[in-house]
This record gives sequence, structure tokens and C-alpha cells, in this order.
Amino acid sequence: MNDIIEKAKGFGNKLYYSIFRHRFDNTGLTKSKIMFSNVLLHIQPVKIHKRSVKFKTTMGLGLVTFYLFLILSVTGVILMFHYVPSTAIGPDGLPDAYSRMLNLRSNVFWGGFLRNMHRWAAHGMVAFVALHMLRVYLAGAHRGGREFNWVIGCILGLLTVFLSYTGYLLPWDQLAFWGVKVGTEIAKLAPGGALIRGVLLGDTDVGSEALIRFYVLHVAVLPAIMGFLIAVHFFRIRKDGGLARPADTTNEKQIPDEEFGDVKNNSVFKSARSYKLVEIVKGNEPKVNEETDQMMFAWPKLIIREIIVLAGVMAFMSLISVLFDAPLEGPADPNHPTNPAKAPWYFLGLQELTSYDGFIGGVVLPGIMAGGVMFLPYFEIFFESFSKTFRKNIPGVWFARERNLENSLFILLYVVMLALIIIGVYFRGANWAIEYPWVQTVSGGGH
Amino acid sequence: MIKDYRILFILAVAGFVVLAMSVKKAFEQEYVEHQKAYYELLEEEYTGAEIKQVNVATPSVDMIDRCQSCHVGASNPDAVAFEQPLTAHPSIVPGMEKDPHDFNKIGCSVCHDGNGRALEKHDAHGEFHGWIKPMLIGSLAQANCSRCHAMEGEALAGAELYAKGQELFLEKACWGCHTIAGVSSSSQAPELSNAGGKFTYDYLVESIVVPKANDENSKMPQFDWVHDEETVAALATYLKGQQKNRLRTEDSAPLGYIKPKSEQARIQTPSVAAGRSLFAGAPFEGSVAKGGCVNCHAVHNSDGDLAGGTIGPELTWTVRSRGRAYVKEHITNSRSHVADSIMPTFKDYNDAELESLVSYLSTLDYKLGSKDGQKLYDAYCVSCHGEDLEGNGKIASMLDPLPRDFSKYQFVASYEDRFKESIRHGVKGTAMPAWEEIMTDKQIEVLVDFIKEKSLAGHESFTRMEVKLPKIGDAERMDYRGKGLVLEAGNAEEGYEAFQRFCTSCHGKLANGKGPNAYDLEHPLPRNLINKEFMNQASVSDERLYESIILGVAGTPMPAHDHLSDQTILDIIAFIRANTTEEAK
Repeated sequence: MNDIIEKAKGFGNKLYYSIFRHRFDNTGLTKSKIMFSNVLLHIQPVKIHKRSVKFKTTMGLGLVTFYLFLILSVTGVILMFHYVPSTAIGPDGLPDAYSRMLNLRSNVFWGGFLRNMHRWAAHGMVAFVALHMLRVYLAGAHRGGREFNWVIGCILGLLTVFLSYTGYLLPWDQLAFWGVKVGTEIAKLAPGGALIRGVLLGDTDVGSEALIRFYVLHVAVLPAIMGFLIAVHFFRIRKDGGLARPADTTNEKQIPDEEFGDVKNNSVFKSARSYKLVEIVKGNEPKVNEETDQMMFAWPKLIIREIIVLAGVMAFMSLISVLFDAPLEGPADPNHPTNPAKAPWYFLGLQELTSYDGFIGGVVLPGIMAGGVMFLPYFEIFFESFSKTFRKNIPGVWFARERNLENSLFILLYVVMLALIIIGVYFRGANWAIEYPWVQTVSGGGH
Repeated sequence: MIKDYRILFILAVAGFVVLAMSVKKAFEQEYVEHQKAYYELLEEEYTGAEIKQVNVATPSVDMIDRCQSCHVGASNPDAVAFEQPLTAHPSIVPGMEKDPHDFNKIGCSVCHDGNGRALEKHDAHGEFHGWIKPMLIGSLAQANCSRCHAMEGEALAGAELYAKGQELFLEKACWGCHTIAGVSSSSQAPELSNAGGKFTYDYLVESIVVPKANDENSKMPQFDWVHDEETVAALATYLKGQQKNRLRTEDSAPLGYIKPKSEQARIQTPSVAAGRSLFAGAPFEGSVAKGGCVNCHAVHNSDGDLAGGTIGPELTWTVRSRGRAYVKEHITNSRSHVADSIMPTFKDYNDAELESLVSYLSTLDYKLGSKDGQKLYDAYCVSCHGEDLEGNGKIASMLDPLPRDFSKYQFVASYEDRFKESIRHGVKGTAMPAWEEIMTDKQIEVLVDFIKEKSLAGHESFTRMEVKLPKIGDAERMDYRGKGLVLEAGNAEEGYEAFQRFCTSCHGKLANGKGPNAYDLEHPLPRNLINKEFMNQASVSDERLYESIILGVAGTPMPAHDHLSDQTILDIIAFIRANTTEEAK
């Protein structure tokens, strides 16, 4: 009998190790192995700086953005099972795409929730990209060899907006049609914009061709590019030595070691960083052994904190999606513009600018803003080189005194854009006239 | 570390709870509760809820109708006493033992609109913003009878509201401006043949009650009766019923499609009584009336009581002041007399009908014997020129050109003779009629004195320079270089150049008085210079034009143009004349 139990144990062990390859004890070796041998975890180093897990360092903003991307991918794929990108009039007298939206709301089990989730997560992602950027800049984390990653991040930000924008058209209701229409009209003003617009729309106006093109961009092209760039973005963070931090962190207040749980059998691991551990665990990797006393094992503290953020995002998004329904208006009708016709909120700042002057507000300023922000670190380097003001750059420190000017300008940019967006969203009524939000009335309803 | 695990645990639980809530929400639908309550009330066994779906196949669309999932008792007579949404539908056709409408076949949204496929109240009733067909509650559903049944000609039992609207459309003279195929034809205002297909009921109501709500430039007047909710509801129901897409063809209509009668019974012999009916918009001896002048025009009866609309000029004296031929012509084509009149063209009237109308109008014999200025003014002038003599009477805003503003005392002081002439002979091309047949010379004198007294009171005297129209061959007034320039006859082409340079900002490129600056001016507005009737009357002489250009017009926004040389002014006059004389295109 004991023999059989022993054999079963042996079999069980083999089965277990074939899947997990490691135990779950508190030794430094196990902690290293967990990180190395799990595909989802080995994105992260085995050992990380203690700063990285502090809320203050990142506020989890980039992570939230990434999780929202995951949520969007999952809900998006599920929605793809139901959605048809067609404007053909179905037997119920409505365009297919729109009819599918009505079905999601009333016929498809859980369909309304999934659509709400997808919609609100999309808006949330645009917002969190902006917040993440603000955090990175104010903490000076875009400098010190990370300049190009900032550029990639900006491209990711633009992709996020473009993904959200292409998705905005898909419900094919009045909101979608006129929101997208406003955006494409702004594109016309740019030099060469008419050509890009023509390629995007496949027609002279927003119509069935535009819907299929936006759909393919939304579900295949853009997510693929996005996925690749996210990988590059993350990879560069690792290769740059983890999250940006000051050169010397010995005097910073750190989280006490007890917080990370005790590590047994740690003699070698205590003073080693990831690359050395690679050497021990696997093979030949460069050694980098600095600040070893500031480092900690990523497992479990970091992983748990990351899962906390995931759980938080999931819970919050689900709650929002249960409480608030994604808007859906009447079917798209090119003959009856809504008044006012508003673009999605993240474009309303631009629409507000455009209402003052089409070319300057709709093309020049956004162009300068997008280009300027994207290459901001290089501008900084340029000015520093030429004015010979080699200031001490302190990456990873919030509101570093040396960067007061840059930080104030960047905050000002955000405040102005936010103000414009608020005006556009809440203070613009019919005929784009200034109206207080509490007196706004939706007139007519004659679609 | 323990703290982290706790936070994770709490968030994970919260996430699962919320997700569970979303699934619960997906399961828990309103109709389940309603059906439970329904069977409980009926005291029958509840065997589980089911979605009751009716698919209504029509030539144009397949309607999905799941309304009776909640309105489960709609065709059950035992459910009459139940509350909404479980109650039975009241009978549709009065006097029928068994209602011919079978809800198991036609569903609800055929008549009541809404979003038939939805199962949640707000969604199903189409209450979300921008939905094309919000639900028509109760009797408003009569608008949709016409989707299947013929509604022209004979009235359909049970569609009283619609039938009332149909009558009102004629009585309130909506037909005068709006076209509904088979009922009226007019190009004055948007066609309403598919009003119900295009617009929601609420939109139609809003457009009737506040015509300017959606289009600030709408010319549609706001009628007196718009505050009568019943009238508006009936009219809007009728308009909502005007839909091009029908659910039944003529062959498959449940009740025979009565083709619209292209020729309604018409009045064939002229009579005063027929004219009176037409004027009031009431049916006359079997003919369906298409009149309703009274909606816009008021008249005094013999006792001096005023009744009627405040959109067009009062008609008590019209036949006497304008003559029968003018009135007939004005009804069929008002713009031949007053270039900017908003009166629709009633070209469908036959001779007998026109004659009847004119005969009726000529029976109006109210006349004021008084010689008191105030009384004369109140009877004859006040509706256009206003109580304060400011040219803003009740109907003034509908007139183009606007009535003269006598409070501009400079004007009154400057043009005394012209003033009397205008009252006596009227001003052609405007709404001002000739009063010589109605008022005695004495009365006109009294009236002029009254207006002068009122207008000039409290102002110092106003003297206007006198200028004479220079003759061809005279020396050029602006010949300051002493070149000995001599005036030549005006050249219309040169005048065109000058006009484009100096005049278009107010008078417009077309010289129609609608230049870009005209919209910022106040009463009186720039003159329409291509109003032929006005420009070609005797009192609008070249001398008057010259005087008005060089000195400006007293008490109006027209400024002096003494910086123009005489030759330029003569050229401009030649250009203006060329526009309005017969040779002009």
C-alpha cells in the first residue's frame, strides 16, 4: 500500500514539476525560479528596486493603461462574435451594424454589459494614457537614456486615440456618425489631409466603405501594431534598468525588508541582482551588481501589487459598466446632422480650437503639440547642449527643482487642453453657442 | 505583505461580486416579474416566463415585436381591470363586438411605434435620445392607422383624432403653404407628404407651437391657436400619419384603400355665402373647403368688431381700396404686386371661388365716421404702424417692406406732401393701400395732423436741405479741379460699378435690400430696389432718388452720399432704373 502511495507521489511530483518547475517556498532560489520559469512573470526581473513597488513611484498608471488594453482586447474579441461591419439595410429596416447594437442591448445575453465595458474601458484608456504621460514627465522619467522609449510611448498614445476613434464609428448611430464626421472634416484642413482622409474613408464621405476600413483598423491592424509596440515599450524599460530612479538611492526612505516576507537560504541571492542570478540559475549573462541592498525579489510583492491593480481595474470597470449604459442614439442618418455635432471627448479640445480657426486650431496647433510632446526629451537635450546648461537630471523624482520650468510648462499644456475639453463637452450647445450645462436642452428629437 | 494580500482579497471579492451583479442583471429582466404578477392576478399557474415575440412581415420591413412580453394581457378581456403594463388593450374600433386587430398577428409597434425588439421599458418605448420612432401613447397611435388603412376621403372609425387633424389642416390653412400629396400643392413651405416618416411626434408638435425652435430663420408664423393643446395634438397626429412607407399595398390593405380624390368637390357658382365659408375655412355645401384666410387676415364686421389672424393685413377695406381685379390677382400671385410678400400663391382657386371670395370681402362695409385723429388712427393704421406710431403693429413683422416708423420725426418733418399722397393713393409694391375711397379728404387731413403732432411733439423743428435733380449738360458739382466737366445722361453699366462699390453693403449685390449689413440695421430696413411696382410708381421720381442718395433719407439708416459726384449718382439711378424697367431681364 505504502508502495503505491509512494509511486503515486512520485508520479504527482513529476506531473507537478513538468508544469511548474519550482516549489513555493521562501528560499531565494525558489523566488528566482518562479520569475525565470513563468512566461507571464519573466517580463519582470527577478530582483527589482524597492522603489518600484511604492505607490508614489508610478501610481500604477501605466499598468492600469495596460490592463485596460487587455480588458479591451478580451471584450473586443467577444463583441466581434456578434458585430457585423455593414451598413446594408437589414430586414428590420435598420443598418446591420446598428441593428447589432440594439441586439447587444436587448437580445444577446450579457451583451449590454460587454459593450458597456468595452466602451468605458476605451474612454478610460485614453484618459490613463494621458495621466501616465503626465506622471512620466513630472517625474523626469523620460530622460537618461529613456528618450526613445518616450517617443514610443507617444506613438502608443496616438495609437490609443486612433483605436478609440476607429471604434467610435462602429455602432453606426448618430453619435458615431457625426462624431467621426467632425474628425474627418478637421483632417481635410491639413496639407495632404484630403488624401489621408480619402484612404481612410475609401469614399468622399463617411459611409459603408469607411465603416469596413475603420473596422479592420480597429480589430486587426491597430491592435497588432499596438501589441508589438507595447512589447518594445516594456522591453526597453527592462533594458534601461527598470523604472527610472536617481543615481543614488541609498538615502531614500525605503520599505523595510520585513514587508517583503522573509527569505530563507539567501546567502548568495541577497547580494545578487537579476543578471547574476541568471548566471546561477541558467547560464552566462552579464553581471550587474550595484545597489544590491536596495534590491528585493519581485516575487511575491511586485506580482501581488500588480494583481491588486488588475483586480481594482476589473472591479471598477465592471461597476461602471453595471451602473452606466454606453450611449446609443438613433441610426446614423447622413441627412440629419445632430446639433451640436460633437467629436468624442478627447477630440473636443481640438474641435473647440477648430471652432476659432480651422487651419490653426485644427492642424497647426495639434501638429505642434503632438510633434512637440513626442520629441520633447530631444528638445530638452538640444537646448541643454547649446546653452551649455548641463543640469543635473534626476530621473524618477517628482517635481525635481531643477526641472521647475519644464514641469510648469507641461502642466500648463495639460490644464489648457483640459479646459478646452471641458468647454467643448459641457459648455457648447446648439450651433456651438456657449451654453451653461444646466440650461442645455435637447431640442426637437426629430433625429 | 499581509496587508497586500488583504487588499487583493477584498478587491478580488468586489470584482467577483460586481461581475455576478452584471450576470444577475442579464438574467433578471422586467418581463419575468410582470408575467409572474400577471398570472398571480389571473389566479392561474405560473409556468415560467417566456418572451412573446411577434414577427410582422410587411413588404418593406420585418418588424420584431416583443412588447407583449411585458404587456402580457393586451388581448385578454379578463385583464381589463389590471394596471399597466398588464391591462387589456381598450377596443380600437368602436361598436365592433370583436376587435378586428389581432395583437398576436400585428403586435403593438405597428401602431404605437417604439423599439419593438427591446425588453426593457426605457429602451422599448424608444425613450433614448435620437431614436427615430418614440412610442406614440394612447390615441396618438391613430397617426399610424394610415400605415395600413386608407385615410383619405371617408373617415375611419376609431381614428377621430386623426380625422380632426385632417379637418384642421384645411381649416387652419396649413395647406396654403404646405404640400401634402393629394391634398394641397404649394411651394411656400416644406412639403409634409412624408412628415410622419421623417419626424417624431414631439418634433412636429414643437414645430407647430414654436416654429422657430429648430430653424431660427423659419418664416412660419406663430398662430394664436397653438396654445390649444387639443388642436395641436390633432394636427400633429394627422401630420405624423403622413408616411410614404406603408405596411400594406393597395391590394393587401385590410380596409379598401380609397384612392385620394384628385379633384375635391369644388365651388362652381360664385356666391357671398361660399366666399364666407372659404374665408373661414369651413366646408361649403359638400365641397371640402380649402380656405382659411381668417387664420392670417382679420376683418371688421359691420358693427366694428375685429376678428381674425394677425399675420397678414386686415382685409375690411381691401376690395374698396384695391379693387376686385387686384385682389383676385393678389390671391393667385401676391408677388406680382408686392415683391417680398410672404402670402402663399393660391393658384388652385377656380374663377368661381375667387369671385366668391371677392364678393364676400366686398360685403364688408365697416366705415368710421369719426373725425377724431386718434380714433381714425386706431381703426385704420394701428395694426401695421403700431400704437406708439413706431411701425411695429401686430402684423408689422410679417410685412416687407416694414411699415413706416413715425417716431422718426425727421422723416415726418421732411416729407409732408409725399406723406399725404401715400395715404391717399397708397404705396405700390408695399402693403400700404390707397385710402381715398375709405377716408374723406378731411379725415386724411386730420389723420396727417394727428401723426405730425404726435411725432413732432417734444422735438425741435427739422429742416432738410433742398436739392434739385441736375439736368444733363449742367456743370458737374464735384468738378473741383475746374476741368469744366459736364453732366451726361446716366450710364447703367458705370452705375453698376458704382453700385457694387457704394451700395451693396446694405442694398445687397442683387439690389434687393438684403445686403450683409441690412441684418444689423433697425427699422426701417434698406429699400428693395428691384421691387418693380414700387420703383415704377409716379412718386418715385428720379428727383426723389437723387435727393435720397445725395442727402440720405431723413429718419432712416440711409446716409448722405454727398461725396459722390453728380455723374456717379446719375449713373447709379440709371442702373437702378434699368433693373426695374421692362427692358430689364
